[in-house]
Amino acid sequence: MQITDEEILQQFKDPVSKEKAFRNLLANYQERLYYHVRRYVTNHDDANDVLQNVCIKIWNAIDNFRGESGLYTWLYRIASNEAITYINKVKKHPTVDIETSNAKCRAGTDNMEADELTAKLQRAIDALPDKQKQVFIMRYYDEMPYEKMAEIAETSVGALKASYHHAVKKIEDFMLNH
Amino acid sequence: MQNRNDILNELKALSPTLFKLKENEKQPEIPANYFAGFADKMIEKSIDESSFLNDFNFTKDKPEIPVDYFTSFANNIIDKIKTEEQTISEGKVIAFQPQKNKTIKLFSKIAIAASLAGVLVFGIKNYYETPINNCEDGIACLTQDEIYNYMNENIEQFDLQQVQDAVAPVIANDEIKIEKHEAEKYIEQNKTDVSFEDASTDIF
Repeated sequence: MQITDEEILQQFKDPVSKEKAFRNLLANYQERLYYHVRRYVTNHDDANDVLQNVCIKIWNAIDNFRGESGLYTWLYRIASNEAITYINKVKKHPTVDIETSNAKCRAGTDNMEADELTAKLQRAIDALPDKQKQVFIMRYYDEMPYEKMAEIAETSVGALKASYHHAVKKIEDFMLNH
Repeated sequence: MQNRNDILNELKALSPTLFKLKENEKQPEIPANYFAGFADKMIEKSIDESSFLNDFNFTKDKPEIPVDYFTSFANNIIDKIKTEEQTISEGKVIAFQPQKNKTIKLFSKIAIAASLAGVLVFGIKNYYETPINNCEDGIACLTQDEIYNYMNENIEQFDLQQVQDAVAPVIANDEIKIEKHEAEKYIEQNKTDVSFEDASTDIF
């Protein structure tokens, strides 16, 4: 049976059980965090890098977690921010390796044929501003209610709805005209 | 899940193209026995409707990842953290993400602190100098007016609290702070239009 957030946080309070708590936290959330990150970056290697950074940040910052938001809201926020930071860094300092990776379909691996529409969708998402990209990923891929998105993005439901609608329109326009 | 239907209906109304794409998205391969115990999870989900996690549909549309990637993930991370902590305390050189030959040279805690200060200064400078596609005012490059116009045109989608949340940042803006004497002057000039109840609230 899966250990609850409350139990994990309780374990974190005791330095002796911090490692155990961290293992439990990862057991619960590593896949979710991975797949969320993977929506931002183009391949597994990048997702792995980002996820490792996320985990180290969690390890270092968990003592300061006060429970003002849900645990996963907090984790999700770290993962989103880390992914956005990463893709901005990649944009600023592109390398041959990264460019090669970008050429691959985000949804697949080397041996998987990229679906043309999916690839086009990814290019359209990549063209969005960071925040709008985050909004789109939360709503389109993660199918998250606006209220939860508002907790993570720390903004209003109205702004998020408007932003998502604009993002969808932009992507549709890209899909139809490129 | 009702929420999913809402999201799909919203998408369908906004963009039939994207809706069709989402409907036709290929399902990734699912590990054997993935659905073992799935029913129990669903029951749990129904009981704990307030759980944030349960609103997620994270199992769908997964991209492929290397086999056994998660098997040793926790151990790898803990080893990495321990190595990092040990290295910091000893002041050694460590390889960080060795597959990309990224190394961080750690001379001492003081050196790190000094470097961080330098990075911060450089980072802030760089941030302002580099044109990035990231708007600071409002979310995702939307102006407050655009957000208000959207909300106004779709007012039926919002409750009072959501409208208040959207308006709150503007009310908090120093630029539109109203001084007491200005409020009194306004009330004086418009006393025929201002009810006693309004005048006694914080709205002014």
